[in-house]
Amino acid sequence: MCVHELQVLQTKLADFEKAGGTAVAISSGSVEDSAAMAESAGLKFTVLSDPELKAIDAWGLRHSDTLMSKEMSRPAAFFLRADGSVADSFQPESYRYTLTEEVITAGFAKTAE
Amino acid sequence: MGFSVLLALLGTLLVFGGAFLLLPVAPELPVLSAGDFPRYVMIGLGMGWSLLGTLQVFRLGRGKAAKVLLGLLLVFTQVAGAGAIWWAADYSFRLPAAIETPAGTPMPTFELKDTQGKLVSSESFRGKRVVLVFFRGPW
Repeated sequence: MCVHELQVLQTKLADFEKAGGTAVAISSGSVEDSAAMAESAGLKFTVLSDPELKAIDAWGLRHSDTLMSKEMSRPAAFFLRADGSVADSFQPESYRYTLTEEVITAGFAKTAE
Repeated sequence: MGFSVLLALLGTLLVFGGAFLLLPVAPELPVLSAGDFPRYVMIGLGMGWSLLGTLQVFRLGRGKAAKVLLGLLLVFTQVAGAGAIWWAADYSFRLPAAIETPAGTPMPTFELKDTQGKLVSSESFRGKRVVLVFFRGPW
């Protein structure tokens, strides 16, 4: 997931909120880096920092990125029902596959089932 | 003429040498990392030499058989070089297999700071339908 995908998510936020939903993004970046990114990208949903990879490990998403020489999260999206259970997930096998508006819309629809 | 043939043949050797060195390590290394960069240079240089040598033979040489053979070798070399680079580049975008998260899996609990530095608990999302996105980083 990159900033562009988060901006796609932002365009759907109003629809989510009307349907009793919300969006949350998590990365291993610091609070300061996340705040700067959220402001420059115009993100209005919750952006959380996980530099110690607690949530990232809890979801089994830790990834050693050799290009950036960092431990970080692999890209993933989880669509959660109101009871906190997973309704659907998107975990691409390659950085080539990105989170699109269609994937977001279809995934969010499943949270009502 | 002799030098041009030699250049074309050396180019082919470089391409295959580079591919031989690149392909086994590509799954562990990203594109243009310090580790695999010399191998890409080797393949690129080989493709260039092969092209240059063959074009010189076509320009200066007289033997039809040599032109046909070098022409075929040129095509073979360029396809092999481009193929090796494409394969390695494609491989570098791949991610390890994801841990299965079947429908119905409960959300693990966590508590993290938001952009204001305020702690946010995953429990605060209960009662809402949530799109939870993990991304690489804000850099």
